[in-house]
Amino acid sequence: MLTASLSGAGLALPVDRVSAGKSGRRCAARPDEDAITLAGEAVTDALENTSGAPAALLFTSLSPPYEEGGCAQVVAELTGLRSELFTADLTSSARDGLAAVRLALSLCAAGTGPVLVAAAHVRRDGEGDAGDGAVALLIDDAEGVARLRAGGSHAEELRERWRLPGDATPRDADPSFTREFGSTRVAGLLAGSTAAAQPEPVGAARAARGDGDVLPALVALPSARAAAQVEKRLGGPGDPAVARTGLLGAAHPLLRLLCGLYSAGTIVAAAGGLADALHFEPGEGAAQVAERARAAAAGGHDVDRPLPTPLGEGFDPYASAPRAWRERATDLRLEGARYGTELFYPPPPAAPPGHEGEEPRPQPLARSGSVVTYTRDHVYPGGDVTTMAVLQLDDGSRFYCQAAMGHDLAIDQRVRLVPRRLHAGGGALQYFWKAQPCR
Amino acid sequence: VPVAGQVAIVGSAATRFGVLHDRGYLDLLAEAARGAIADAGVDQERVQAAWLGTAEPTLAGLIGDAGTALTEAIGFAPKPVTRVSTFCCTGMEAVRAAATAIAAGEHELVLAVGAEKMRDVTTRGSLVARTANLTHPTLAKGRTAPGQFALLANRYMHEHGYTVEDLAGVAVKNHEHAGRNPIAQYDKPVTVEQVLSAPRVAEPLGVLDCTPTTDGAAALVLAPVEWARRNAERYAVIEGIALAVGDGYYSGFYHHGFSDYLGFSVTREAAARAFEQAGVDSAREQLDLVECHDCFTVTELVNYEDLGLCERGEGGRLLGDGATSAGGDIPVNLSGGLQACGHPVGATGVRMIKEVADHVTGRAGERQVEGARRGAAHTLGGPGVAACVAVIGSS
Repeated sequence: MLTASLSGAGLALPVDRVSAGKSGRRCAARPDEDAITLAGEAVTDALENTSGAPAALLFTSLSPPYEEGGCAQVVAELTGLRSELFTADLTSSARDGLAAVRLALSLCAAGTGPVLVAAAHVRRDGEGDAGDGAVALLIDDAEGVARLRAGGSHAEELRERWRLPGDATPRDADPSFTREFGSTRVAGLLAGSTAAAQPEPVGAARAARGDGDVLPALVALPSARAAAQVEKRLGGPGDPAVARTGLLGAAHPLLRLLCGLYSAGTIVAAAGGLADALHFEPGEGAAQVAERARAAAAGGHDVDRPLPTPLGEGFDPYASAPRAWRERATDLRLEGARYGTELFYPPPPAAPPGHEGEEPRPQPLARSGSVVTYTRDHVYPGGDVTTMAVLQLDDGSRFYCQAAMGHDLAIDQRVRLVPRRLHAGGGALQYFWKAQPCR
Repeated sequence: VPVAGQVAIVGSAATRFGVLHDRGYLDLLAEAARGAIADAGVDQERVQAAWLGTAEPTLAGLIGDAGTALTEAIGFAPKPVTRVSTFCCTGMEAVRAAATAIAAGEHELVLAVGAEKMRDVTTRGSLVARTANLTHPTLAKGRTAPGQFALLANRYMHEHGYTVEDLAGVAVKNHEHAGRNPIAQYDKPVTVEQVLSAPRVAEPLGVLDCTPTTDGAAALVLAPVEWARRNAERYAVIEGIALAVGDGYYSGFYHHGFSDYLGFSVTREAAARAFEQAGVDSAREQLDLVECHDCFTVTELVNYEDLGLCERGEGGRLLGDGATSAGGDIPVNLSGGLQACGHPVGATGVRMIKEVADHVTGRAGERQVEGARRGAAHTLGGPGVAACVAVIGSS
């Protein structure tokens, strides 16, 4: 039986909420956010109050910025994970978020060590009810806020939504067919069989649940409406988040899991003929995790439309793969060099004045500080109007960066550093850290 | 062998500064170099070596990336020509290198030439976009030249309580001065309202807070003072000259302690050394004029402070009091400065020294400071990581 603990959870839900038709509103990422930056923020959030280095990172998304070549390693660099990490990208269906959790349970059972699952989505053309956001889970053998156990899986050749190479928008099968025979049926089958195979609850869950109760089923499907119908039939509590976030692709099952941690249950994620189920038993601290997830989903502020600012189309700055590789620690990991009590970024090639003869010690920069000065630059060719700022970080180091898109800065303002996309110079996506006002 | 007091400027020339579509880089070099040699009253054959300052040859199809361009332009073979490049200090560094060779006794007559051909490409293709496109991948993710100095402008106003009107006062003054300079790119006055309503470049700086991009060249002929005494009709003396380099182009903005965004430590360092060589204890009292690096309006205000013309934080008030205007007790940028002359990067430092030399030799025409005996020229390179200061006196 595959079991492990949920020992950390992180969220990255963009604050902008735009109209999503009848389904309410959805999270809307800004132009410098994508599935990698959102996953990076969610992983950072998940690791904030945990110890122990993850041994694996599973990145899952239906909107990977790199269709080939991998995204997980970028998330790992942004979050300072060690390079001995096992990584994998799962990018084929909306059920992959839960599939990644199942793989994480397998890795834990095999003794790999703590596993991070980072699921992210950025709405693509043709995805009417989709939103943008990311969820990260840290899964390991230690005591956690919830116990997770793999349920059943299902696989049959039935395509509800798919893409062929070069497709800009998804293709959908005949809805009159898939309504009856698609993921709604598969989810129901799996939830039913899984419920019958439920084990006896343990600990607090036993006390909270009477004998003979059937655990509620949470359902995540490519259609919010279909998911609601199936879940109602299965006695589930309904999706508290989707009307404010939109469907978050592969991340949505994980958001539903976090929001549902008030009580034990089963979550089923299905897409076409593919499905997975997962049981969860909340432990100490689970209610706070659920409360936080629900609050984040319900939050944000309503805007008329997503920020339209383009990211410097046609901008083709200097790019060098060898140089980017040599400087990867300085770049995405933000490693500076400490001499005595002073932290220098980037690490100076020679000892700075006053520190002659000292050996530097590498140290990641603090991710928060205050604005020393700034400007709104109208002539930087990599964007429209680009706010640049000099920061004094909390570790005493100096940092020069852009403001996250859509944010204004002021002198002395408190800010935090967030990973963001810069541009696609040289044919590769360029990421770096930007300043965003603290909430 | 010290340069100070030992090296004379015996000839000088400059081309018109501006958008010179009818002139190529080699044309500009030839006009300036031959003009300076003619001004010195010597035959070219007697000039033994040259230093060529050009900062960014990529703007002109890589021509000027070696000293050989000067050889080609004026037929100087086989004499040695060395190209010099130190960001916006390039021209003045060419002069310093040439002066060092004279002081060392290596040569008797040498050329220092600065030239830049920036407008064979559009303004966006000139330096702003180049800075961003051809840049350090790790560190310069959003940097432009105006953006670097706009950071200073906002901090300066925040710290000292100045306003955008105070910054605009620099442009107004220097454009008014340029009306008396026949080589300036812009010779029409501007108002504070025009400066403030001009399109924004990097807030709070607008187009009229920024130096334009410019084609131009300038040249000096240098000789030992002893040679000048025997042979020159008139000459000026390099009383002091110093270059200070504080950090790398990219790292300077990151290292804490390097910049407080209220001035430039390299200017203070270079000024201290050059003034010491020249015996200048009080710049305000002992200098008759200053040419300083007003690449952006705010830069001139902090230069006042870094060059010791006033206390730190007092730059805006020095300008407002009229002390740095024509007729003031310490006129600054009577040429129109970079604001109105334009800034062909390699040429600027040479032009500045020529301007001061013209004043101390009584050849500055309508701009002449009566009785001027000593002035200073100052250039600032990169985002404030290099500075060169020269003190030029009368014979």
